[in-house]
Amino acid sequence: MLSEIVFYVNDKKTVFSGNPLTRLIDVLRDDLHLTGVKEGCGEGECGACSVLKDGKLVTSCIIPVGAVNGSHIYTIEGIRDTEKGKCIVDAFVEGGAVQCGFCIPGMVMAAYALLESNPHPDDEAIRQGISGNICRCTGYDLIVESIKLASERGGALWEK
Amino acid sequence: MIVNAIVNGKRMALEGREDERLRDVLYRSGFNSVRDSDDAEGFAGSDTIVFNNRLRYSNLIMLYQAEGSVIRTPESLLDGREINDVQKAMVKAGVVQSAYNAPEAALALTFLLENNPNPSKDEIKEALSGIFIRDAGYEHYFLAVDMVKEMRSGNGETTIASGPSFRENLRYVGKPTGKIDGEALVSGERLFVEDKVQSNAYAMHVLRSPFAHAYILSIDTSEAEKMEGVVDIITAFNCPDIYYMQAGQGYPEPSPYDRRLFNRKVRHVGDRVAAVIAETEEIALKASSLIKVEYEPIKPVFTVEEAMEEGAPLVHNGVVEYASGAPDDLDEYNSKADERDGKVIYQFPLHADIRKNIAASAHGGIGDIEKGFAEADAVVDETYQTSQVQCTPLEPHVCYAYIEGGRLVLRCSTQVPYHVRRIVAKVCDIPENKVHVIKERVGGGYGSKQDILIEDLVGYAVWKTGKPIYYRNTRAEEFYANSTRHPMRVRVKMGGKKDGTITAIYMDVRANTGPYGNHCLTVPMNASSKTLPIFRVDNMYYDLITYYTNIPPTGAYQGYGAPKGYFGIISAMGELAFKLGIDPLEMARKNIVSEGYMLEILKGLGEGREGTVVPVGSCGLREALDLGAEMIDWGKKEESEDPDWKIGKGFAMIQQGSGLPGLDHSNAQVKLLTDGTILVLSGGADLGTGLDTISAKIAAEILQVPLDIVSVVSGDTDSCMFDTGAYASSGTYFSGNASLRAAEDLKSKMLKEAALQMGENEEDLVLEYPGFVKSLKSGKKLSYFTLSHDATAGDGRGQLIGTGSFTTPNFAVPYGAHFAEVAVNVKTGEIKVRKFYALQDAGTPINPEIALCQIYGAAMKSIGHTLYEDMVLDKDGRCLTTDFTDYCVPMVDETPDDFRAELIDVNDKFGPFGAKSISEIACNGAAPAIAMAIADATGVWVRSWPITGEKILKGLGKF
Repeated sequence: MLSEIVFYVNDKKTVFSGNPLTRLIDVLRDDLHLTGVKEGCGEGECGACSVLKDGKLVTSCIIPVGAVNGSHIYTIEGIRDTEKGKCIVDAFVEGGAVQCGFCIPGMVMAAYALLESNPHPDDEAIRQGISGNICRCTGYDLIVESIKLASERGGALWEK
Repeated sequence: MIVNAIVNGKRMALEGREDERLRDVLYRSGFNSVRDSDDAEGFAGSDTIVFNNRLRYSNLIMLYQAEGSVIRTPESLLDGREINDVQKAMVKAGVVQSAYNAPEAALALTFLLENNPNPSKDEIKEALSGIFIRDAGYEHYFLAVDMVKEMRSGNGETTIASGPSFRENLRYVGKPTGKIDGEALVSGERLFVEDKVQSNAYAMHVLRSPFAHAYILSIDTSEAEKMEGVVDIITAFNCPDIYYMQAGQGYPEPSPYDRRLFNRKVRHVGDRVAAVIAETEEIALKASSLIKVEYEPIKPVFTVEEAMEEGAPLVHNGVVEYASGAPDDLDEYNSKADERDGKVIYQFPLHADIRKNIAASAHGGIGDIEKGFAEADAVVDETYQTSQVQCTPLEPHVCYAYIEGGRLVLRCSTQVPYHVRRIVAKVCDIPENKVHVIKERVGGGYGSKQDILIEDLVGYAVWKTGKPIYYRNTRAEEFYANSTRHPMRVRVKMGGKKDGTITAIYMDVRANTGPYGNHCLTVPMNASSKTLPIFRVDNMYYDLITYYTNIPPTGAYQGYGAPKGYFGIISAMGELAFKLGIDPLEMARKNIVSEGYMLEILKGLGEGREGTVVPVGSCGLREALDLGAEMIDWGKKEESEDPDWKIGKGFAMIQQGSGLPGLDHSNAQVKLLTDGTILVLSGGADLGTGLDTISAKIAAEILQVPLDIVSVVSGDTDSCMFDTGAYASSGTYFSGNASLRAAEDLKSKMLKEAALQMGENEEDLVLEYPGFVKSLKSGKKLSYFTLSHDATAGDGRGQLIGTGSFTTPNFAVPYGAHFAEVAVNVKTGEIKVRKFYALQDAGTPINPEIALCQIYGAAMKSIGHTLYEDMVLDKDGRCLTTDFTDYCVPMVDETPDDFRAELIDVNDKFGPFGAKSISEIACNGAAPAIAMAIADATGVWVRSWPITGEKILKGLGKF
């Protein structure tokens, strides 16, 4: 079965023709070369493939492309150069949140989704916000601190 | 569309556009040995496949035509990792060098032998007739076929030696062992830049000038920028205001910084106007067609004569600056500058005058030439003109660059990785630690890849946009936007006595550097500095002036300025001998240098500074002349049965250098790995020349280990140490000597560590094959495995690593003589090279079989520029010969009937294990030897390249 799916990736109109059961992550990585989207588990557990779908954090490895018809998708490549994206990325670098780095693009997407809905989260809320993202290197503490730093430093930025 | 075909015995669905070339589809489907050298012209054969049981160019087959076909690619020759017997024989024979289409040659020969187990030489020629080989010549392919025949008739082995052996006391050096990377190359591994490109790479297209000389008034990129998929457009109006030049020479360079990435003035047809970076090639092409450029054309100049005319248009009329040595009247000089011309910045004075189109000048000599001419019984004074020719490597200039970890990574096909790093860093205005250059396998360089002709632009575009970019010159761009031999006009005045003594030589060299001054001093200097020191003559002088013009760019080409100097000086010697009625060979013998002769002439031949006088070192020149004379039966007049065919003989004695003493610098490291095997990290750039094999052999000899436990990594600017690069015949002498010193350093460290481990005195220890430290006192042995293991253990003293650096004031000059026997049809003008013998003293040839093939390859290139090759420009400066067919490179059918290369056994004092350079010198002999042979046959001296039948007939007064 072939069908045409129209959606937006990082504000760019994208037309996919092919099997609608193709995983979104494969379209993003293989067709659009958005290699910031990482595959860790392929079963929606680790969060390395996290993207925003219409503002919501989703794992792109378990979403068929047919399910995003008409949606707006943002990947790390789409947010990293925005004011908010830079705020998180800089905080991660300064806060020492990055070790091997494989989970980080997904982690940044999770932080972004969190701060968009809750500009000044407490520790508990941050841990809740990244609960779908596995990091095997850092033990999470410095990631939590870095998100806190992004929240403080961004200030009003997150309230817009 | 999807096409069903059987590829290498397997049913496959090939997917692509129906009008796509089969080659592109095969490459994309993983058959990457099927390459393209000629933009689908159907000439070079890098795309050869067996298609429905016939040899075919896959570039000339559209995908739709392949439905139901049976296809074989060179990948079919492999059995797992094992190469087939033809491939083994090719490696052994020494023909696998830059190897861009070696897998195709292997396929063609395998196919031939399947259908004809005992082919004749003509049948082998027929099989190879569609495959252009530029590096190794064709001679050893015949040898490879003989080897295969023997292998198939017996036990799979061959007893045929692919070359002579030298130095009894050595295990690998001087022995034909085959290249260490030969198997990987002939099997078609993914070793070239194009094989490293990832699917996310962006494309770049360069919009080029249609005018030879024009100011750019404006560039409107607005329409192009609107196109979806266009990332950036770089032009003279937004590129960095940084002046540099593209010649890959040691800093500070003897060439002017006379260009930016893009200039407000274009100086040749094909000069850069804009670069479009886009998602695909198609978008980049379409976008560049939407760029509107307003030009103000200026009258161009194309020849030295036009450039030197009073009031000639000026190619560079900008502001002149000096990094050092500025003249006092510079302000006055610059008051006439036109700022649209930009700048010309000299690192030190090149005695130039851009307001007279002079890019550089020099002069010097010894003795008193007027006195010398007065003593002569006869004087000749003739002018010899050389043409513009191109290196034509099978792999065009190519670069793939991307950002990784905040650094700029360039995967290059280059002779000079460290100069690429320096120049790209300069253009991007970033420090060198931000740039990583990886030299991949090079599909032919021949000098053209000494220059940074695309890496500057690709590197900057990647650094600016952050996008990965893959760029490759078209074959046409290789001709009009690349580097070529400087056309030169060499006037030689030579006087001699009746007894054959040459009393004086004067050379007036006028060179045409084209639009930019790459190598503008040093290439023309070589016309004198590589020729005059071969003569034992007391009175010699040269004048040299290089001019800017609007022809396609020039630069380095194997042999540098020497082939042009030799064409002039040996032709003049022949003409003088004819005039005096004596044998030119006797005249040569009377006037050549020999070991120990003090080369006073070198004083005036330093490149921009006073040279040092040194004696001639090892020199096999006389032996080469004697052996060549014997082989060709010099002095015996050959007659043809057909009175229209006249036969003549000629020769040339030649020399070159081995790198640039005092300027070049090489470094290497040799590591003892944890299991006692060896890794050499060499700064040297192997261009298919066997330099890595040289480094490996040297390390194996010094460290007393089998060659196959030595591996080499080279030309990677991150992991290897600095090396000026592979040019000026420096590889063996400089990079080889650096590896030698590093191996010796490692050896002394190993002995020191072994003494501690063994409880012995260092003086009692020696290294013993195959990898032991042995005590001469106690007889105890320590394996390299234990030595290294204990050194790197938890309580060890650290890994054993040797470091070596090589610089030298000493020269290791290769000498030689080339002899030709030529037949000319005086009715039709047809020229046949019946015999060509190249005799060369390369010191100890470290890889003898590769050396022989390089001589064949270089001699073929020079036979090419002597008889066939020529870049023809129309009246507006547009190059008309932009493909192989029109440009006319020699193929297997153009090889001389009897073609032999011989290595004269000479041991050099300074070269590694006595080695000197090999291949550049071999470009010097053909033009003067063939010119003399034609004069011997017909009485006509043709004094311009290419030597054609038309010119001979004209000389004979036929029209």
